[in-house]
Amino acid sequence: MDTTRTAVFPGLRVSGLDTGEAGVERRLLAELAAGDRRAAEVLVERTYRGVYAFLHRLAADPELAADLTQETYRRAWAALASFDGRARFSTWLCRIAYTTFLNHLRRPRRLVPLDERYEETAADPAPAADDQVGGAMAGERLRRAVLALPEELRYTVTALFWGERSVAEVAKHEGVTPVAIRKRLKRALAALAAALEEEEVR
Amino acid sequence: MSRSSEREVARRLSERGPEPEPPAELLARLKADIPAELGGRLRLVKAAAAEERRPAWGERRWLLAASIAAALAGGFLALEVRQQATAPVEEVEATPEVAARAESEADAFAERPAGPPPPAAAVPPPASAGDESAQMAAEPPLLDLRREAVAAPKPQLRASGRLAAPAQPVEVPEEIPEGVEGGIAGSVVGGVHGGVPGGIVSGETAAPLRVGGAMAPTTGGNAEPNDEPYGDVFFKTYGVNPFIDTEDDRLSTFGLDVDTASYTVARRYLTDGHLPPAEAVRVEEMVNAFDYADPAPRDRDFTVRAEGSPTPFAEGGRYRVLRFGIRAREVHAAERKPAVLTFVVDVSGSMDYENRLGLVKQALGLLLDELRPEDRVGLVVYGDEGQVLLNHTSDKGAIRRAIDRLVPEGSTNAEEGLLLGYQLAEQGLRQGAINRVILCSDGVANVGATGPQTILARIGRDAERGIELTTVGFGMGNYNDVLMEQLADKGDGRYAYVDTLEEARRVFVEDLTGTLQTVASQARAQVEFNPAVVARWRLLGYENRDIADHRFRDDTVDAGEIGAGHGVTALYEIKLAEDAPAYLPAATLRLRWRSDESERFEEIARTLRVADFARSWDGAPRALRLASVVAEFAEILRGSYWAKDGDLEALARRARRLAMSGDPRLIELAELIEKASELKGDDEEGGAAD
Repeated sequence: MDTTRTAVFPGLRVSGLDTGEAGVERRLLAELAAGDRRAAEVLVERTYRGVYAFLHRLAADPELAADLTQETYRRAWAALASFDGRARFSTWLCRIAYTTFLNHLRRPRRLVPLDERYEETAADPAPAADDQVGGAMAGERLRRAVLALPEELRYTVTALFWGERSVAEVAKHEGVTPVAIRKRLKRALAALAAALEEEEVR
Repeated sequence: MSRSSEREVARRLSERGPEPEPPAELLARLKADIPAELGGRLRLVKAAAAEERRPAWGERRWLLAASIAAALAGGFLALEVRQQATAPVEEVEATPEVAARAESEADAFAERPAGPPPPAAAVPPPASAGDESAQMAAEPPLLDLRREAVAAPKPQLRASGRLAAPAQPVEVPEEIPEGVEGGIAGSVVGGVHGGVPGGIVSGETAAPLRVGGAMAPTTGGNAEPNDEPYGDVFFKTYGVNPFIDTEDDRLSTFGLDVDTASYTVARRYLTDGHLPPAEAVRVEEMVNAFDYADPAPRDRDFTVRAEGSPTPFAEGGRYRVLRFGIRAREVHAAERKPAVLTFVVDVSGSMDYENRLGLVKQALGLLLDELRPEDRVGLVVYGDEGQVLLNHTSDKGAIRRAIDRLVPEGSTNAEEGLLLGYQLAEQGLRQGAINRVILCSDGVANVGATGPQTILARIGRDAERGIELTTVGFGMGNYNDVLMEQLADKGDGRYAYVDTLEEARRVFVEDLTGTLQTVASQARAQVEFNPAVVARWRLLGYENRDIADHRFRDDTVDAGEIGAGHGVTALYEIKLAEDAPAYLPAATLRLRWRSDESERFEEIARTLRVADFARSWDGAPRALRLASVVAEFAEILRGSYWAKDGDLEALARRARRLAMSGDPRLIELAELIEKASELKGDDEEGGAAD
C-alpha cells in the first residue's frame, strides 16, 4: 500500500495521540466526583493552557483570552452537572470556551450584525496596504472568515484546528457521527477558500 | 474553487505558531474560582465503557483517517455512502423482512434502469447491530463500497410534474487507497491525489436534507414573500405538490408532521372577516387539526389505517382519494415520564396587544393544574433582554407567583430569550425525563441576531441532546409564522397557534400534558404506488416535509417527532390505470421511526388494494370524507391549481352533512367554509366590478 497517497490535512488530529491524557482526565474526574477538590485544581492545571490557547486564537487578544478563560471555567463549574463523560472533559471545556467567546461577541452591541460586531475585537480591518504586517493581516482575514462561517461549520473548524480536538472527540461531544463532522469540515474549508479568494480578488 | 485552495486554508488554519503563553497569574485566578462542593455535581455516564475498547477505537481511527483522506482526495460521494452505511449499523435492527424487501426492491428496480433510485439499493441491508465487535467487523467492508457505482441523489425539483432525468451514476475513482493499516504518522502526510469525474459534489448536495428547514422547498412557487429572509415575512409558501406519473416515480417520501397551527391561523382570519393569505394555509396542518378516530395501539408504537374511495373533488371517473391514518400509541398520564419544562415567554411590547400576554398567563395557569409533583417548571422571559424569572422548581406556588409577575416591556430579543431558555434547560436536563423548551411568542424577533440561523443551529444541536422545543404562537398582525414553524421543526418539536382560551386548553392541557411524551422520533413515511394500478398520484400537503426517496432508510435524516396519542393523516389523490386489476395492491405505506421505548428504528408496512376501496363517496368511511373535505377546503384557500374549480358552497354542504353528528369542531368547520364562501364571493364580485 502506498501510504503517501493518504492525504490528511496538516494540523488535524486523526490518531489516538491523546489517549494517555484522556486516561488521566478520567481518573481525575473520578476523584473529583468522590469529592476531592484537589482533583479540580489538577484538572485546571492540565487543561487551562489549551483553553487559553484556543481562546487566544479565537479572540486574537491575550488579555481578552485570559478573561474569557476565567469565565469559561466559572461556567464549567456551574454546569458540571451537565457533563456526562461521553466526550472528554477538555472537549467539553472547549465547547464552553467557544460559547463564552461567542457570548462575548454578542454582548456589547446586540443590534449590530455579526460582521460588524467582530470588527470591534479584530485588528484594523483595512486591506493589507502595509507589507510588513502582511502575514498578520492574512491571519486576521482568515480569523474573520472563520468567524463569519455558519454556526455549525464555525464550531467545527475552530474546535478541530484551534481547539486541537480530534474529529472523533468533537463528534462524540456533539452527539453526531464522525462522518458528519468531516462533512462539516469539508464544507467549512470550501466556504473559507471561497471567502478568502473573493477577498483577494477585491 | 480548487481543492488545493481548501488545502491551503487547512494549512493556514493549522499554522498556529508557538503556543501562546497564558499570563502568569491566570492559573491562580482559575484555582481561586473553583467552588467548594464540586463533587456532588458530577455524574459520569458510561465514561468507562467508552474507553474500554480503546485499541479497537484506535484502529477505527485509522480507518476514519483513511476515509477522510479518501474523501478529500477522491471526492465526497464516498463519504456519502459510508455514512449511509454506517449510520444504520449503529442503531438499526434490521429484520429479515426488511433485508429481504430491500433485496427484492433492488431486483425490481434493476429492471427499471431509468427509474428513480430505490430507497435501499445504494444502501446494503444493515448487518444486525449489537455488540461493538460486530460494529468493528462491519467497518472494513464499508470502505469497499466506494468502489461501487453510487446513484446520485434524485433531483428534488418536481415542479413540472415529471422528474428530470436521473443523474448519472458517478464512479468513484481508483486512486483511493485500499488498505488502511498503518502509515498515517502523526498528523501530517502530504500529497493529494485523485479527482472525481464531473467535479466535486458540492457540500450543499451532500448535506443531509433538512426537512422543512431553511433549505429551498422542493416544489414550485417558492418565491420569497419579499427580499428579506427574516423580518416582516410572516408566511412562506412551499408550493403545491404536482401530480406525478407513477411510471416516472412510484415513491412518495415525506416526514410526518403533527403541527396544526395552520388551521387555527386560517380560522382566525376567517372569523375576523378575511380570507387567509394562501401562504398561511398548509394542507397537512389543516387536515391534522381534526380527529379521525383512528384506533390508538397499546402494545406497539403505531397503527396505520388505509382507506380509499372515489372522490367528488377531481374530474373523471378514474380518480380516487386515499387516506393513510397513522396513530401513535397512547401513554396514560400516570405512565408518562416526569417532565422538565422550560417556558420562554415573550414579554415584549407587541405582546401587549389583544391581551396576548394575558392569554399566555391563562394558558400557563391551565397547564399548572395538570402537572404532577415530580414535574419541574422553569421560566425565562425576554423583552429588551432575557432574564431567568424562575429556576426549575416543582413548587406550584412559586410557579404561579412567577407567572403573575409577567408584564409586557420593550423590544423583542427572542434570540437572547431562547438562548437563556436553552441554557436553563441544559442546567435542568434530566436523563430519562421529558426535557422541553416551550416558546410562547407572537414570533416577532426584532433584536438579536440578524437571521434565525444562530438560533436554529443552537436548537438543532440541543435537539440532538434530547431537549425538544414546542413553539406556541400567540396574537396576529405581525405574527411570524415562518420562524415559529422552522424553530419547532429544528427543535424536534411541534408548533401550535393559540388565539382563544379554548385553543390554549387544547394545546397546553390536552396536547402538552397528554402528549408530552414523544413516542417516536424521525418518523417518516414512504408510499409506493403500483404502476399497474395507479397511473398518477399527488400527495396533498407536506410540501415542506419532502424527503428524497433514497433517504427513506437513511436514519440521519431529520423527520417528524410524534407525541403519544398523536394522529397523522396523509391524503393522496390518485388516478387509476385503465383496467386496473382490483386484486393487486394499489399502494403500500411504509412507516419508519425511531422508537422512544426500544431506542431502535422500526418499520411497518400497510398495503391497500383497489378491492379495499369504497364503491362510492357516500359509502366511504367518515374519516376519509372528513379529511377530503378539509383538504379540499385548504386547497381552495391556498389557490391550488388542482382545486381551481373548487366550489366552496358545495363543500360547505358536505361539511354540514358531516357536522350532523353534532361535533362542535365539525360545526365550526362548516361555518368556516360558509364564511370563506361568502368572502370569496365578495372578492370575486368586487373584482368583477373593478
